[in-house]
Amino acid sequence: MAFERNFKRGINILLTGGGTGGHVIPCVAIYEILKENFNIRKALYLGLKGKAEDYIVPSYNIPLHYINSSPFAGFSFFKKIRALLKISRGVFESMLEIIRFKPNLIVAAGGYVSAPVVVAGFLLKPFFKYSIVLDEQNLVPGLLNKVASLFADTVFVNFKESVYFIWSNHCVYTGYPVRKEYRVDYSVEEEKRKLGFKEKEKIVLITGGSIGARTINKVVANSIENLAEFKDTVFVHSIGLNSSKDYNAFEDTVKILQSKGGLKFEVEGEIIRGFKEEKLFYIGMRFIRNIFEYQKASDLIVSRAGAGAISEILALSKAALLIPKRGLPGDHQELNAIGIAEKGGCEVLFERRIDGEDCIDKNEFVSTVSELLARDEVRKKLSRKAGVLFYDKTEEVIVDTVRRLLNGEKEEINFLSGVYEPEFVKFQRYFDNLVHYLDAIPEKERSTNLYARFYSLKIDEYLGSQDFMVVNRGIKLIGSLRLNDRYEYLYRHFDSFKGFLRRNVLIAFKKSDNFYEFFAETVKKGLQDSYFEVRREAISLFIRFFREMSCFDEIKEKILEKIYERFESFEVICEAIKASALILDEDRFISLNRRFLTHRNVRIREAILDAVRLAMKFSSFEDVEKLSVFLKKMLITTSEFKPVFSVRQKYFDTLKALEGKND
Amino acid sequence: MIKIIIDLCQANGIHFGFFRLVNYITFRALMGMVFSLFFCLVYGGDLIVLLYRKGMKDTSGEDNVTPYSKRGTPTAGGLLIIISTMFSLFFWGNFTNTYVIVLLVGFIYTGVVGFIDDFLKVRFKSSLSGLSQMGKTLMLMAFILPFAVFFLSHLNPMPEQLKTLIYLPFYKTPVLSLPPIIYGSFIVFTMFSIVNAVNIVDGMDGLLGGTGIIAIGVYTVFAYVIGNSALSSYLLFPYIPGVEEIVIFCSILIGAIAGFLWFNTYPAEVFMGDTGSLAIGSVLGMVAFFLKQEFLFPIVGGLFVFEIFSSFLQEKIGFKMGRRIFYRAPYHHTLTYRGIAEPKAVVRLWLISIVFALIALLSLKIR
Repeated sequence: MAFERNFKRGINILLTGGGTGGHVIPCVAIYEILKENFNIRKALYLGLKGKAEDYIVPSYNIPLHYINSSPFAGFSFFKKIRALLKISRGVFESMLEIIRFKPNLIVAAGGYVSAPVVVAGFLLKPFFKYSIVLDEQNLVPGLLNKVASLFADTVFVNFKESVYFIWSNHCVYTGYPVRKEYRVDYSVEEEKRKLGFKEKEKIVLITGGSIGARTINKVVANSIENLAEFKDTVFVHSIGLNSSKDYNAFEDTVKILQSKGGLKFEVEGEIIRGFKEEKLFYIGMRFIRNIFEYQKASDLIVSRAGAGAISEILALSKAALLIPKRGLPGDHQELNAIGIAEKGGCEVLFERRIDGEDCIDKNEFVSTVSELLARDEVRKKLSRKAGVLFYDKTEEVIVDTVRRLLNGEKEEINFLSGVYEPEFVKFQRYFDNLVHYLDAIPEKERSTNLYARFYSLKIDEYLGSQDFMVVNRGIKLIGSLRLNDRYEYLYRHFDSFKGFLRRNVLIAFKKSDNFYEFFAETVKKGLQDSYFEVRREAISLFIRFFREMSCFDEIKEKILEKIYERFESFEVICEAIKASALILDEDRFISLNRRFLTHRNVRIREAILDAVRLAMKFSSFEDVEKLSVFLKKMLITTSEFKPVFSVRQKYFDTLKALEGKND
Repeated sequence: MIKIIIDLCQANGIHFGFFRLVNYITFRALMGMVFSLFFCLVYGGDLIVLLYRKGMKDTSGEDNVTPYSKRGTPTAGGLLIIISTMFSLFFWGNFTNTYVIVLLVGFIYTGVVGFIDDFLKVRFKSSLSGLSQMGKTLMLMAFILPFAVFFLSHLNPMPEQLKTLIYLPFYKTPVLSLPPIIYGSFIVFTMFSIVNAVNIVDGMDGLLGGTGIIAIGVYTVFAYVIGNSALSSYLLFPYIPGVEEIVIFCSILIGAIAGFLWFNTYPAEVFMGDTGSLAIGSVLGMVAFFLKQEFLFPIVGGLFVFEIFSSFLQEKIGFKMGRRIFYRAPYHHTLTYRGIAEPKAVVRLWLISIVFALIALLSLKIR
């Protein structure tokens, strides 16, 4: 075998990546996978001082060296220059490390520390022989990672959709590399015993990642009295390492906890224990080193919806309640969680934004947790589904790819081809895509559909915005989600809205299932509007609810006036003609519209046909023969024409037929 | 190239009777046009297949491909225009002429910018994922700013006193002379607008092909007049030596666009993409300045001006007001929205631009 021939003395691996545990852990996991399959002589980790790698890496017996680096995006211009200087310093440092270490393989797992290492690796590539592998766990990579991907030989991605964002064309789908501990079989009871819990005790692990999640910590601390009510349940809380100026995760949480009366809390170093009637029900820790033991032992995991956290839950096939972080680029944590929850792998609780601060609704949190704890069969179902969703070929793919890289057979790697445009990119790019999607949700599922749930939380934020196009989004969402309790709000603000918004308010009303009194008022206002699309939609709203509005003679008269009006937009006239079929009887309809039979504009002639069809549908005309006589006089030579590419048609028919056979 | 060889031969006393024809602008212009046209017709089909194989497929419109939609048509067909123009220019162009060199550089550079835009659209499978507004502006400015500097510098062979004069159509004497700085910023603004205007018209099968030929054709006539000392003094134009070579460049480009139109006309087998539209736009702008007929452009390219004006009103002003001003913008979409089929709308717009071209040609004599 070529591999053994070339690397008899073993290979040197240079690892890097960090900032948060989310970048360090997969890097370590890849190292472990490689260690099992290759003969590794030396390994070295390049990281930042004082970050997550400082805590995690030493426990895996990998030597850790420090370099300089700095985040880049989101800074002002001068800070960006300073960041660039720091990064270039990091590049020099890592070049020195590479020269000293002579690696065969560089594994960079994202985070801003990996960018200088990858660049240094690229610069030194002509002089040394090694391959660079970048591991990207996030759906949406950061700017530095996108740049770094250009210098890497291969990029391991956790989501196929990441290919859409990564600039390099050498992506391999590996799934999330979880650590060795997650890849072995285990029994929950034994793990519980190991940690000193009783078997009948239910364990709930609450974690916000290695840094910690402020909102989760707050909601746990504030609802600790409710949590203490649960019988035979221990809450294990990983509070997090965050100790920045405005938030000290551990200290602040302890402060809130100790202010609660009726419960006893003991602080012991970096651990806080809570007792109710001398019974342990809460353990909070600054950082849990052996977190996988707790994860294995737990019955329910409350966690952030980062890619790593989700993969670990899926690998262990655990029941989980995911609380995605709000406001990340592309809302990707929320959409990660929705992706899993749609397949039945977890429960989701969304953060809200109230008074400019993210928070989790306390009652919602307590009730969801209690429901999950009370019903064993639900938890079992969740955990079974989660196990199925785990991608278990990660190890195979990584080993295979690395072997090919080391042997210099880069051409034989199966790189991902094609672009997988993520759903949410479609939604964000064309907001109407989302609106169409939400429109199509059947009425029954509207309350349970996750996208509907998620976006209904965002409406307040949209409506409160200063930018009227953002308010527009809120209005569209109200329409497509049929939130009838907010119609009143739209009606009250109708006059203060701009043209597009007025139009969309009317469209939103049109989608409503029920008729409300103020719709008629809105139609009246809309008919006098200065914007033609509003007038059009007002008449269209009348057509939608013409039975309910049949008693408003004023509206009817105004609509009929529109037909005669000079210089009226043809769109409005079209709608008015359609409405006239519902308002008038056939004789008056014919006499009114006779002059449009030979109108120069095709769309107006088309509207007469639509009107007749509409009238037949609602059977408001009795004498149909008169109409056919009337329509025979119509000018049907038109300038309008819709092409049919017959070969295309046949092509799609053939494809459809072939697919039908395969099924 | 042929011109240089023949000149060299004649300088050394070798005379081919027949090749004296090469000294005539009209002969070279017509031969160039024929060369580029035939190049397109011969290699066009292959290039379209090649573009399709390389995945340059149009991404506009809805996501689903239906029998009615045009999504998936090979795009970046402007490459055909650029390649055939270069091919024909290699034979018939005179590369010792500064105007030809600048035109060629601008033509190719803007074509490359357009190709990058097209490529990004294809790579990310969406018509919105091309170069950002800012990126496109910067990349175009990277050509337009040097062009303005060149125009005012000594590298430009135009007579020094003529450079900053302003001629209005239908008016025989220059109206005023601007200071170089102001005229330079005027060049930048006008070039940028022209390039964008031409780019925006490219939205229907064969629309820019036809209107582009007509507009460039008018400027070809002007270039012939202004580059000919007898004709220009007869028609009271300022004589600019050297611009007669623009006739050759323009007629070659007309041939190339006509050859492209062969495939691009409704229903289109290939789209020009930004590759072609930016390149054509930059040529139109540069030629207008080289001929000192920049104020003729609102007439020659009246359609382009109107389209970008409608688009500007709709997107910038209408958006601020929160309403639509036109039913759809740019204006050719309004036509289809009102129920005029695409081929009909395209031919009508050609006819309108012919009317504009005739008015512009009137200004040759009515002065």
